[in-house]
Amino acid sequence: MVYEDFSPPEGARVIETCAGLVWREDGLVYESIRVTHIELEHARGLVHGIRELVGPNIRSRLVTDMRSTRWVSADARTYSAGEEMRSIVEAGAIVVGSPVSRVLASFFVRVTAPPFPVRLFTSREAAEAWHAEVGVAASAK
Amino acid sequence: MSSDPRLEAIIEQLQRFASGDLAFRGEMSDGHDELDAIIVGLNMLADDFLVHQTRSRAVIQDMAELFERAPVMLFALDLASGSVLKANETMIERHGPAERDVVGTPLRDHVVPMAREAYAEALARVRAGSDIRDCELTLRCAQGGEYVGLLSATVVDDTHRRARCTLVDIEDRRQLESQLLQAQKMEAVGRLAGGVAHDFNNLLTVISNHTELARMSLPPDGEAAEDLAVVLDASAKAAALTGQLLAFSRRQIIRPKVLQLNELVEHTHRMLARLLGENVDVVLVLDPDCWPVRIDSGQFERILVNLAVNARDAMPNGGKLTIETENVSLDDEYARTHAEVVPGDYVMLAVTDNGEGMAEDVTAHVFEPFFTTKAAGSGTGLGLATCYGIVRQAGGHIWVYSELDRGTSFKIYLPRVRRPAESLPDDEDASATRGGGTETILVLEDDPRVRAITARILGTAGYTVLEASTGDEARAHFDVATVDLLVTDVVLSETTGRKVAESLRAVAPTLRVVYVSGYTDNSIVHHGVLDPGVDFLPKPFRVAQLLEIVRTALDRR
Repeated sequence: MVYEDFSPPEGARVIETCAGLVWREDGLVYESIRVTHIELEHARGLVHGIRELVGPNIRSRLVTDMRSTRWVSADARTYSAGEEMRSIVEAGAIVVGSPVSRVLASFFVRVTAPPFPVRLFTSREAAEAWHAEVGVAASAK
Repeated sequence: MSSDPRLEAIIEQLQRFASGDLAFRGEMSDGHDELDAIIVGLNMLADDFLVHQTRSRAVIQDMAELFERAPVMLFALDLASGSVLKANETMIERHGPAERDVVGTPLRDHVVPMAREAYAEALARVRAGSDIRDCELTLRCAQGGEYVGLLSATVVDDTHRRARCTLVDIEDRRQLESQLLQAQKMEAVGRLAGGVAHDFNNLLTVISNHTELARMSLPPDGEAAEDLAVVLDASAKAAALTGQLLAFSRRQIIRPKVLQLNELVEHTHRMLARLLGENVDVVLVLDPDCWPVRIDSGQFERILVNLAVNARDAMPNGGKLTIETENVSLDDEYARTHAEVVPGDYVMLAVTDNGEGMAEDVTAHVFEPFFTTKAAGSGTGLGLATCYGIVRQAGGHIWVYSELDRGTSFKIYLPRVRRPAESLPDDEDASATRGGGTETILVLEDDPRVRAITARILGTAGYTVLEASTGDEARAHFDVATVDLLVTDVVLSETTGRKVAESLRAVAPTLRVVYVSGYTDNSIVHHGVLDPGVDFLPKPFRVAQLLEIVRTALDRR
């Protein structure tokens, strides 16, 4: 299922990966995951997509829409919380909806524990507001 | 009562988990509701649990491998009984040979009786809850023999009934320390002996040459001449003793060559047979492919003679003396357990007898100077010390292995030289000394007594002798006289004989020079090895030796 509030704006450069779309908007990188089951190759595809979009070794603030997701394999979770992900992600906001996506995202945040700040949100606006706050706090340091 | 089939599936999954079946995964519906979320959560928990279980098993496997294969002895001890609960392979290998010889037996049984009190005290500390570190104990090996080990024990926190223990064998380390200590002691004694011998040589030069000149001025059959002959004989013996001391202290002047040990052994063999007598059977086992080594042939003969004479004395009723040569490569492992050994290729010379052998406390001191087991007056105690010094000066190593009533084996390792061997030097010419002449000789020596006797000997032989105690005095003589030969001490108080000789040669390029010294490390002798083409006379010298080298140098002009 594709949520209307999570689509790339007109004219934006969009990278289509095996797991979904990746684009940039107002300084944030957006991932719209469009597969229901995320395996390791999907997670890798998303990382490559982000690299292609912003360039190598640039750390971005990420907003990920996981509302359609129904399963994330252990390998995909481990990879998404690993060093490669840390090299491109400064902070991540995950947008969840259904109880299933909440459980999946909670496992990622609490059990797999990625090495960068991650929070769960139920709307894109809340996620963007948090990023703005994190960004201000980080630039104030 | 009917229920939601997904709830049934959740219950079944939980039951399977409880029975250890982590492979089962609950089926989700197409929805995204709370029940699906529970199924997803359970499936993820099962996934994660399996991942952690696999990792934990791998870690446990690694730990078990480490435990079993660790080169130190590891074991668990039951504190109540003092028995070994579990032991690794190294421990079982040392104290087994079977596991049952170790596991279930009190550790005390493996400790030698003398060390059991120390062990009991250590165990009491552990029982009281304290860890122990490096408690030194002597233990008995399963294969016989004893070793010194360091026992450490950590009390297991939860029960206080078990301790995790390590036992490290430090026997090799102790032996290495002891070897190093012995080597340092030998070095110190060598320095002392070398220093004494050097000063003594200067005195002997004066004593023996004055005596010889005095004797020459007396009728040969008179009582005084006979008395002086006794003094001369004693001087010669004293010179031989100081020579041995210098050899021990590695300060003897040598002329090493690249040689084949086999040729040297065969060359000395006939002499040994005569020396040892009929009761001793000399057997040569020589490796025909021996590598060349660099050694002074005369010194090597001294080693063989010393070892052979010791062997003969250890076999009063006769026996067998085996002389072997063999190429060996000493590796890092060997060097690790033998102090001062550099890994590499060596030629080994083994001299083995089947005589009385020596006790351990004797072998520990055999290379020390003046250590002898022979009756007073029968041995100087310098024979093996000399061998030690000669071998060390050649860059080699000497070790002794001995068992009472079985025999003794001396093993000498000389470094391989990657150059073809030279031919053996001819035996020294024993013809009559050539001496005397009418040339002009300048004697440069800062010790007035040695200078005076040198000048007197040369003057008596017909030479015109000029004397100088410094380089400036020597140069002053050159301004007014034609000098044919310079006889100079190498080490002078303000300069060196070599520097003076070089400055004089700038004026007289054909000037011949004879260097005299008692030191083995100076501008022309380096670590006892002479620069090539140098006429050198070591102190103490005798009249004939001085006249011989002077004549030879003059005739070479």
